[in-house]
Amino acid sequence: MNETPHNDTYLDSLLDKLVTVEAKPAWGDVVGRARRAHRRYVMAAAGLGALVLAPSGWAIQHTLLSAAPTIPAPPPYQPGDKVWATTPPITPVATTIDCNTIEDAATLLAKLEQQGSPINTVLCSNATLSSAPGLPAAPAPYKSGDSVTTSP
Amino acid sequence: MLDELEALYRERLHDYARAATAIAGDEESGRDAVQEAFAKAVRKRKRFRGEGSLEAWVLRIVVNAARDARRRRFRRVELSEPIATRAEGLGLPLELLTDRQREVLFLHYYADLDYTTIAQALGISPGTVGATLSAARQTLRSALAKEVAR
Repeated sequence: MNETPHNDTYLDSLLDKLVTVEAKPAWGDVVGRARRAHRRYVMAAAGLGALVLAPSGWAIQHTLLSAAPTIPAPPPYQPGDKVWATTPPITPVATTIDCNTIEDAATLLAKLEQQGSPINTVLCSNATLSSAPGLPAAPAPYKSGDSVTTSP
Repeated sequence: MLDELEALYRERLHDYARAATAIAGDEESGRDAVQEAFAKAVRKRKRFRGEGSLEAWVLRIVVNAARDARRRRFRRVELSEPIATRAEGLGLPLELLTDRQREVLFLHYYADLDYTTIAQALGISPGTVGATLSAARQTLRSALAKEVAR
């Protein structure tokens, strides 16, 4: 058949000239690409999983650690600590004391807060020393924020 | 399944590469699209349900990979498209065709596929493939005749 613009033979000859690609089979490359893509997918999924699970994992760990026993106190203090741990919630047993009004502690220029819990026949108490607003820091040996726990 | 894919690859690589090159716009992208498409087919072979032919399933992936390659080219603002330039040199007015007409024409001519397989690959009906192919050829023939008459 003559190749004229009016027939398909001419059109086919143009299409034939249009794409002249040489493609050598490389099946190994295909399999390699598939493996690499699979690896990327697995890594991306793991990363995404870590992002999703990390907060809940942290929360679980935090809960477990919170529930775990704390480091025991030195032996002399342990009897008191044990009692303290089983007491009702701490309640204030004394109002804030302005040290300036207490003779022995007048030089501290600080405030003393005392809290405690009744334990059977004894009182377990905790005293916290803090600077009153506008007052300079308490001198040594006690300073603002010091806390002393006593269990008679 | 892997063996069937490899057999299809070895048997049809040349035809698929030509069709993919025509769709993607250059030879390197076309070859790469075929490699990527078969790699994807290998990876997702368990998803092939056998509803159509394996060839149509793979061809669909090849066409999508070639389209992606073409889109990437446009995103990179690479204005020179070897296939378009060559078509212009041959006096083949491909720019008159729609994307679908081009794809149907390329798949039919380069991959030598029947209407049913092309239809499955492109997600259209065989009747639409026939009509689209006929319209594409008619458009090109008319344009070529006008060019000669000038």
